[in-house]
Amino acid sequence: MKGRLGGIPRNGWMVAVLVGLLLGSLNPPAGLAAQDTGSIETLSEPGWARAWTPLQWTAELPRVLPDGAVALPDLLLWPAPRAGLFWTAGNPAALPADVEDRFSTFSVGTGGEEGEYRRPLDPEEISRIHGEAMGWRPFGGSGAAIGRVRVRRSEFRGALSDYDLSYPGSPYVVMDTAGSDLGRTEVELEGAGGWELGPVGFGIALGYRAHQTRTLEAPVPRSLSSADPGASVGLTWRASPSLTLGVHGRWRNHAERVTLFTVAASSRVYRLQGYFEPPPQDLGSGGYSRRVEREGYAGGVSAGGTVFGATWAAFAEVGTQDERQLPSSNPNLAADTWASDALTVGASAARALPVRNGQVSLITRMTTLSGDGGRGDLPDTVSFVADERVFQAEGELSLDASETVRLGGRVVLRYEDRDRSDQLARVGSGVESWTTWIGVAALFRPTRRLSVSASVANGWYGAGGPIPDPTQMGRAYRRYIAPELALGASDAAAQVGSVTARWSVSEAVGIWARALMDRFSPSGQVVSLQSLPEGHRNRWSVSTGVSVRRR
Amino acid sequence: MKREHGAVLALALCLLLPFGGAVAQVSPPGATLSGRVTGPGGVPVEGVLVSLEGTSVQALTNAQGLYVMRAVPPGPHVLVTEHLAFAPARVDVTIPARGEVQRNISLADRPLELEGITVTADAVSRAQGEATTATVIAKEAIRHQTAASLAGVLELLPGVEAAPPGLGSVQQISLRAAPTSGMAGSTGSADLASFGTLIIVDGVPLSNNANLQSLGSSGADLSFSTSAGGGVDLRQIPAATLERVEVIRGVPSARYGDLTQGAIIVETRAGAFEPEIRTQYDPNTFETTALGGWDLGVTQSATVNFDYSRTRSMPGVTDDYANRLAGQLTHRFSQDPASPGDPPPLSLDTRVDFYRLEEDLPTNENTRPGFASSARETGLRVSQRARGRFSGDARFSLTGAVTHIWQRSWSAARLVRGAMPFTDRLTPGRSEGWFVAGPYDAELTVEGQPWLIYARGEVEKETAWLGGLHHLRGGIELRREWNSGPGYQFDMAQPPQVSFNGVQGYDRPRAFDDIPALATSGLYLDDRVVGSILGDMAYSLQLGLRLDGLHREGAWAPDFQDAVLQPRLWGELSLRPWLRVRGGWGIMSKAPSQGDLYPAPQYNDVINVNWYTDAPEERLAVLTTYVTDPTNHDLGFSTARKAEAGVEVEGWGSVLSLTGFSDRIRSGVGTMQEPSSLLREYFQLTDSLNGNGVRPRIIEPASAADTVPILVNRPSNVLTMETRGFEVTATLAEIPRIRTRIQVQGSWLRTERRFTQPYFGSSYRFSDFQLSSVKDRAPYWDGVKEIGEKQIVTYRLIHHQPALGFVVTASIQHNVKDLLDDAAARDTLSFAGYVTRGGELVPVPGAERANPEYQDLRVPRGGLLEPLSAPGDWMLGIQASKTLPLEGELRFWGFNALDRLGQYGGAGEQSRVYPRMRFGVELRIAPRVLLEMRP
Repeated sequence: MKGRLGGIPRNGWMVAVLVGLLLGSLNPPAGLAAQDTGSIETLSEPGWARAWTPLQWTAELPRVLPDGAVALPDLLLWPAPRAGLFWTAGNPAALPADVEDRFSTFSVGTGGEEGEYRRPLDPEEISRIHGEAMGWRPFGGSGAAIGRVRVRRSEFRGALSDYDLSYPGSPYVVMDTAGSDLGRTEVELEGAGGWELGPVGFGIALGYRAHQTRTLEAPVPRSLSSADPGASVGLTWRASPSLTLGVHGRWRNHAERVTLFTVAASSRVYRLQGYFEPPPQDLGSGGYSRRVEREGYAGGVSAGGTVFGATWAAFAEVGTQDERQLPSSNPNLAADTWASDALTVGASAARALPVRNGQVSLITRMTTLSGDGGRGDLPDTVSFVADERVFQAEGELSLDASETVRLGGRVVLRYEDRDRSDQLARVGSGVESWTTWIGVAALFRPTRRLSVSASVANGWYGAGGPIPDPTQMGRAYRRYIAPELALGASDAAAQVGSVTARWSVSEAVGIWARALMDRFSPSGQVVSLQSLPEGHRNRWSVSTGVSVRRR
Repeated sequence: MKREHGAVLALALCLLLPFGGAVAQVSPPGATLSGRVTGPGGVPVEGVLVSLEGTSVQALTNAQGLYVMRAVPPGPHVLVTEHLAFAPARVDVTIPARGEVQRNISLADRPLELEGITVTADAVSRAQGEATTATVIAKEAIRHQTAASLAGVLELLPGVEAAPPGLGSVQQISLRAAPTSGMAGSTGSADLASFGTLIIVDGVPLSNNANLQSLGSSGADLSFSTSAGGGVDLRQIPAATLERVEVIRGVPSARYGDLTQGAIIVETRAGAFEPEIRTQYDPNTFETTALGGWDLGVTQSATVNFDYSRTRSMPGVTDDYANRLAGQLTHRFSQDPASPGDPPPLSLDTRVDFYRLEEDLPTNENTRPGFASSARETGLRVSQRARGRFSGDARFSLTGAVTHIWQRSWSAARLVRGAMPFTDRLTPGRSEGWFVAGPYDAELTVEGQPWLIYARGEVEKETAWLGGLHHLRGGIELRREWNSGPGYQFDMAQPPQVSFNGVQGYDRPRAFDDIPALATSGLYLDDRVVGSILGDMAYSLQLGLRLDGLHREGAWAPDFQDAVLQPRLWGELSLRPWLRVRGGWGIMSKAPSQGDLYPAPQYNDVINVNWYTDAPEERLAVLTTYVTDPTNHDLGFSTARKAEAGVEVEGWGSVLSLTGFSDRIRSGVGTMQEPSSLLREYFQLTDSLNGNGVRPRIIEPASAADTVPILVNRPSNVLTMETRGFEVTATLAEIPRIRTRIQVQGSWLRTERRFTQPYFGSSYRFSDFQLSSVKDRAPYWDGVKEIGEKQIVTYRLIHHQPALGFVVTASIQHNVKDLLDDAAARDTLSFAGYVTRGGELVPVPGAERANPEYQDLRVPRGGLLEPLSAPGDWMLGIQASKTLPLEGELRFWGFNALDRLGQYGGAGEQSRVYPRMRFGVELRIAPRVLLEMRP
C-alpha cells in the first residue's frame, strides 16, 4: 500500500474476481505475456507457444492495456498447453525433446480497435489485416524445427506517435501534435532448430522483425522504420531419464529511425522524457529525426523433466538492455540512454489426466526489472529510474464432458508493481495492479467433421498508487503523460468472448474460422482521477485459416 | 569512313594466322560426358533433357536415367536439366580436352528441395554462343533476388550496389563505372555508362536512342522524371518473367554492336512450363505476376506472362502510385527433329511484348499545392525470330522487330517571376514582345513516340579444321530509329521558365516528327574455336570483326556520317584442369542518340527595350530573337577500347576468379560549349513619359549597340571516360555439415572523366558576365577532369535445408571506399585564358597569369578543393524462402535488414547514409495444384 500523493486516492492493490463463461475455444492469444516480447501483439497463438521466440525482449516490461484474449482456453485449434525447457524457458536445444508431433497453421484475418478509454499515445482507432503461418516438426531422426511468419498491415487514426512501443521502460518517446493517420506494415519471421547427439542437445533460434510506418497522406509526413533481429542458442544435457538441465543465451537488437518533416503545415514535436515538462519544438523545414538503438543480452539456466506423469520445467534468466536515442541527422551528439537489468524466473507443469481425456497445466513467470535513464545534455546524471515487477500465473483445465462435448476453464492472475521516478522533475509514480481473468470454454461436435466452440471470460483490473498531481505539472505533462498514469492507476473491467468453428477436411487437415470481441472500460466503483480518459475500448477480430496436425 | 582501323585489323589478322598454325598441330577435341539422372528417392528418371548451357550439345535420358554426350567442347560448363515434373537443376562441370567425365544429377520436385540449388549468379559462366566469360544469372537466382525489375537482378554483379526495390524512379544500369561528380549540364559518368550498355531482350535490342523526353538545352523550371540521355529505363522489364540474364562486362563478340560498356542479354520465360502466380508485397510496392506455358500439339507452344505492379510515388506525403503493366505473348513453332535430342530443323518464335509505366502526381492542396506531374510510357514490341538449319551443319537465324513507344510527360507548377519582357517569336529577328509576370500556372507537355525497326540476319556453321572445332558466324544488322511524337509543347504566354535573364532564351515548342531518323547498319564476322594444344591444354578463342556505320540524315544510303571498324579478340587457355587464364581486347562503338544528332535549336532573346510602367497600355518590350542550330554534322560514334585479363582457379568445389580490366571511351558524346556573341541594339523611345497613356515607339536607327557573349551547346565527341579496375569472385565449396556456402565478390573501380573543351565555370558565373555592363572578359579553364573511385566487397552466405525446403541467403555489402576527386587545377592561377564579350577565346600563357593585368581573372574555379571520401561501412540484406504445402512457396526479403544508418564523415569526408530498412514477402502458388485439390 502506498500513500496518497497530490490528492490521488491510494487504493493499494485490488484483487478482482472475474467470472466468465466461455464456450468454445480458439483464440488463443498471446496476451500480456506475448506483448512483453515486443512482438506484434497477436490474437493467434497461445502464450505458451510464444515463450521460445528469439524476439523476446531481454529486459523490458512495456506497459500495455489489459487484453482479455489471454483468458480464453483453446480447445479446438491448438494442442493443450505444453511445458518443457523449450516451451517454457525458450531453450532451442530442447526442441527435439519437446516436439514429437507435426503441426502447422495458416491464417488470415482482420481486426480493429477503437474507443476513448485509451492513453494519449494509443491511436484513436486501429484497423488491421494479417496473414500468418506457424509450424513445427521433427526431422532427420534427431532434430526438430519450428518456424513462424507473420505479415500485418495496420492503419492508425489519430496517432500522435508511431513508436514501436509507445510505453516502454525507457522514458524517452517522440511524439508530434499533427496526429495524422498512419499506415504500418509489419513482418515477423522466426525459427528454431534443435538437434540431439546422445544426451546432449544443442539448438539455435533466429528471429527477425521489421516494420515500416508512414503517414498515409499528410502535410506533416512522418516515417518510422525499425529492424529487430534476435537470436538465442542453447545446450541441454539429459542427466537422467527424468531430468534434463539446460543453459541458454539470448541476444536482441533494435534499430529504429523516426523522421518528421513538413511540406505544407506546421506541427510541434515533443520528446517526452519521463515526467519532466518537455519543451515543444516547432517543426521547421529541416524536419526532425531520431534514432533509437537498443541492444540486450540474456542468459539463463533451466531444468525440466517428468515427475508423476507430469512434464515440468523451471528456469531463471538474467537480462540486460541498453538503449541509445540520438538525432539521426547528427549522431555525433550525446545520446539519451536507458539501461535496464532484469531477472526472470518461471516454472510450468502440464500433464494428461487419466480420466475424460483431461489436460491440466500451470505456467508462472515473474520478472523484476530496474532501469535508469540519462539525458544526453546532462552527462553523468541519472534523470529517471524505474523499479518494476510483473508476475503472471496461468492455470488451465480441459476435459471431455461427453463424446461430443469438451469443457475447459482458465484462470490468469497478473500482478504489476511499477515504481517510476523522475529525478529532474522530483516526482514519481508507484502504480500497482492486479488483473484477474477467469474464462471457460465449451466445444461441441455436432457432426463428425464439424466442431464449434464458444467462450467468454470476464476480468477485473484493480489498480492504484501514487501518481504526480497533474495540477502541479506542466501543460504537456497534463495532456500527454498524466492520462496514461491515471488510466494505469484506475480500476477497470473487461469482457471477452469468441466463437470458433472448424471443418475437418481430413483427419489431419481442418479449415477454421473464428470471431472475437473484447471490451475494456473503467470500473463503476472507482474514484475518478484527474485526466482519466472516459468511455471504453473495444477490440474485435475475425480470422480464418487451415491447420494441419500429424503425429 | 572517318576513322581507319586498318592497323588494328591487320593486327587481328596477324593474331589469327599464327594461332591457326599452332592449332594445326593438334587433334580435334572430343570428351565424353555421361551420368545418371535420378529423382527423389534415387529413382532413375527417363526423358530428362540434359543440355550444356550456351551450346547446342544436349541429350535425353533413357529408362535407366542415363545420358551420354559426345564431342563435348572443353572448358567450364553448366549442365542444365529440363523435365516438366521436376525442378530444373544446374550443375557445374569442367570438361577436359579429351577423355570421359561422369556427372550424376539429382532432381527434386521443387527447386528449394534441390541439393545443389543456385541462388546467386554463376561466378564464371558462358553467355550462349560466346566464348567470352560472362556472369550468368539463372532463373532460380532471379527468383531469390529482391527485384521488381531487371535492375534488382543486376545487383548480383560485382560492383553493383544494392538499392531498395521499387518502381518509383528511373532505373538504369551502369556497368563498370564509378560515379564522378557531375557538373551542371554535363553528362554524368553513370548516365554515359548506362547509355553505352546494350540490353537485348529475346534477341531484340532495346533502345533509348530516340527518347527525346528531355527539357531541352535551356531547361525549364518544371520537372519530371525521364531516362532520356541515359540508358534504357529498366523498369519496363519485370524481374518475375525472366528466364536467364547474361551479362558480358568485358569484350563481347563481334555479334554485339551499339555499346561501349557491356551487353546484357535477357531471355524471358518461353515454351511449356507449369503455370504459376506470384504476389509480392512490401509497404511501398505490390506486384503480382501470372505466367504459364502450354504445349499446343507436338510442334507448337504458347506462353503468356503478365505482370502488374504499383509502388508509392511519395510515401508518407501522398497516396499516389506509380503503376506498371507488362505482358508478353509468345508462340513457338518447332519442326520435329529427325531424331529425339536433335535440335529442330526450323523454329519460329513470335513474341508480342507490351508494357505501360504510369506515374501521376496530381496537385494536392494539403501536401503539394500548385505542383503536379505525370509520366506515361507505353511500349509495344512485335518480334519474329526464325532459326533453322541448312543442309549440313550450317544454321541461320533471322530476327525482325518493330518497337513503338508512346511517351507523355506533363508537369505543372505555380511559377513566380518578376515582370520580364517576353517574346514567342520562332524565327530570327526583332519584334515587339510583352511582359509576363507571376505568379502563374505553367504547364509543359513533352510527347514523344519513338520507333525502332530492327533486323538481323545471321549464318553460322560449325566445322573442324586446323585441329580445332570452329564455330563461324557472320551477320548483318540494321536499325532505324526515329520519333514521331508531337514534341515539346506549352502555352507560350505562360512559359515553363522563370529564369530568363534577358539573353538566354527558353526552349520553344518543337515537334519531334520533323527530326531525321537515326539509322545504323552493322556487319560482323567471327570465329569461335575450341581445341587443345601442347597435350591436354584446352583453349577457346574467339576472333571477330565488326563494322558499324552511321548513316547521314537517317537514310539507309551508303552516305555515312561515321563508321567504325571494330576488331575483337578473346582467348582462354586451360593450363591445368583447375587453372584457366583468359584475356581479351576489342573496340566497340555506340551511336549518338537522336537528341544529340539533332538537338533543338537554341534561342536567345536579347532585350532591346524594356519599358515597364504601371499602365499596361504604356508598356513596351522589344526583343531580338537569335536562333542557333547547334547541330554537329560531324558528330560520330562514341568508341571504346576495352581490354581485360583474368585467371580462374577451381578446386575442392570452389572457384576463384580474378579479372583486371581497362575501359577507355574516347570521343564520347558530350555537350561542348562554344563561345559566341550576339549583337544587342539600344533604341531611344518616343513618348516615354509615365502616365501619358501612350505606348512609346522606338526611334530607328539604334542609338547604341554592344555585344553579348553566349555559349552554344553543341553535342560533340569531346568526352573521355576511362575506367580501370579489378573484379574478384570466390565461390567456396558448400560446408556439408551445416549446408552452407559462401560467395565473395569484390570490385575496385576508378573512373576518370575528362572534357577536352574549355570550361567556363558554373552557369551562374557565366550569366553574371553575360549581363554585366562592366566586365569585358571572363576566365575560362582547360577542361574538366573528375575522378571517382569505388570499392565494394559483397559476402553472400547461403544456407540450405532441402529436407525442409528452406533456403536463407544473407548478403553483406561492404562499401570499403568511395572517393570523388576533381583533378583539374583550381588555384587562382590555373585559368587558361579569357573569353571576351565578342565570344573570342584569348589564351594567357602560364608565366603571365600572375601579372597585374589579369587580376580580375584570378578567381576560384569552384568545385572540390580536395579529394572527398566517404567512410567505409556495411549493410546486410537477407532473404529466406520456404516451400509450403500444395507446391506453394513463401519468400521474405529484407534490404538493409539491420537498418544500418551508415557513417557521418568528419572534416573533409562525405557522409555515407544508407537507405532505410525495407522488407517484403512474396507468395508463389501453382494454380493447377489448387484446381486439382479434392477434399
